[in-house]
Amino acid sequence: MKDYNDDINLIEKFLGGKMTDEEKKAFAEKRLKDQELNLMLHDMDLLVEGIKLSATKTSKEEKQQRLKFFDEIMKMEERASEEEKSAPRHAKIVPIYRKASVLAIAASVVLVMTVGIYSVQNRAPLNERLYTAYFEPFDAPGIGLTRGNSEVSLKSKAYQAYDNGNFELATSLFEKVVAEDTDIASVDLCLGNAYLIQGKTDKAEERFTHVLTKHNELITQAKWYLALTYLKQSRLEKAKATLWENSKSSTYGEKAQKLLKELD
Amino acid sequence: MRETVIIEEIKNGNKKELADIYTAHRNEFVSWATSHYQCTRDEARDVYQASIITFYDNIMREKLQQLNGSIKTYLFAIGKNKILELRRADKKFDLTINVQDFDLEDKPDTEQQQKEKHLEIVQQCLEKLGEPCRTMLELYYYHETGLDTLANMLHYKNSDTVKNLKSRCLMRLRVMVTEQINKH
Repeated sequence: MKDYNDDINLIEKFLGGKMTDEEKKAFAEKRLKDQELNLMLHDMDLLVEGIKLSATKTSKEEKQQRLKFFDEIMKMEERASEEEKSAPRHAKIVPIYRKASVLAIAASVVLVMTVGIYSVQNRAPLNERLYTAYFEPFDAPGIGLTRGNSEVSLKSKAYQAYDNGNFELATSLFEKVVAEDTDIASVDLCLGNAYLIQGKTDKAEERFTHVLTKHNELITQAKWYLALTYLKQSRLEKAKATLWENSKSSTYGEKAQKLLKELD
Repeated sequence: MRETVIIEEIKNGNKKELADIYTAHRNEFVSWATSHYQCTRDEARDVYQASIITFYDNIMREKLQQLNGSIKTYLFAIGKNKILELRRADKKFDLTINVQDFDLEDKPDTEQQQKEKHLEIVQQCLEKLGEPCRTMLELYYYHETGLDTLANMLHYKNSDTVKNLKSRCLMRLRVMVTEQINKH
C-alpha cells in the first residue's frame, strides 16, 4: 500500500507556492515519472478549494462549538480509558475446569474406557457453571402485600408464590396478571425469572425483552437477566453484548464486568 | 420507547446521556472493530469517537429522531461505514477525477459551471465525511493552523498523529468525491 503522506506534503508545498526553484524542478521531474502523483495533484487542487469554500461558510460560533464538543468527547474518552485501566481483574473460574480436563486425559490414560469418559461428561459446561454461580432470583418489590381489589390480590398471590419459591404457581398466576393486560415491569421481570428458573429460556427471553422495549423502569435488571438467559442458552456472544451494556450500571456493573472477564 | 427518550434528552442538551452511551459501548466497539475489521486499537477508538460525533450531529440536525433498533446497533452501523470508507481510502487509488475539468485557463462557461458543480460535491462530501475530519481539514487548509496547534486543539498525541489522520481524512474525501463525480 502506498503511503500518501509524502505525496500530500509535496503537493501542499507546491500548491501553497512554497517550493524553491530547485524543489519545483525536482517536483516537475517526479511528475513526469509518476502518473499517480499527477492525478493526486489535480484532485487535491479541487479538494483543497472545496475545503476552503466550506470553511468560509462555517461561522466562528459553529467552529467554537465543534471544538468545545471535541473537548467533551475527549473527556469522555479519558474517563472510559481510565475506567478500562482501573477495572478490577478477576480470577477466572475456568482454571478448575481446564485443569480438570487435563486430569481427565490423565485419568483416561490410566483407566482407559472406564472412569475417564464419565469424568469429562460429568462436568457442566462453563456457561452452566457461570449461570449457576451468578443467578439469583430477582427480589420483587411489594411481595406479600395484601391489597383490596381482586386484580391486586391476584398479583399479590403471584408475588407471594414467587417469594415462597413456588415458581410453577407463580408462573401461572403471573401469566393471568399479564393476560389481564396489566403491563407492569416488575410482573414481567418476575415472570421472566420464574420461566428462567424452570428452564423455559425462550419465554424468559421474551419477557425480559418486553421489559426493555415497553417499559422505562427496571431496565438494568432486565438486561442482567436477559444476559443470564443468553448464558443459559449458550448464546455467549449475545450474553457478552448484553453484559457490556450493563457493565457501567451502578446496580449490576460490577457483576457484569466480573462475568465478562470470566467469559473471555 | 427508551431510545426515543434518550435521543430527546440529548437533543435537549443532556450530555450525561451521551457520556453514558459513550462509555457503555466504547470497549465493545473497540473489541469488535479490532477483531472484525483488523483495525488497530487507536484506529478503532478514533472511529468510535467519530461515530459518536456523527450520532450526536444527526440528533442535533434532527436527522435522527427515533430508532427502530438500539442505539448500540445504530452506533455500530455508523462505525462500520466509517471503517469501510477508511479501508477504501487505504486501497490503491485507481479512480480519478476528470482532470481536464480543473484547468481553468480560458475555459468555456460550461466547464466553469462543471467545476462549480464539483466544488459543491466536495462540500457535500466534506459534510458527509463528518467530524473530526471536517474541522481538521478546514482548520489546516483554510485557517492554516499548524500541525502542533491542531494536535493541541483536537487533543491528539502529537503532530505526527494529526498529520497521518489529516492524510487519511483527505484520502477518504477523495474517494467519496470521485465516486460522486463519476456517478454524474
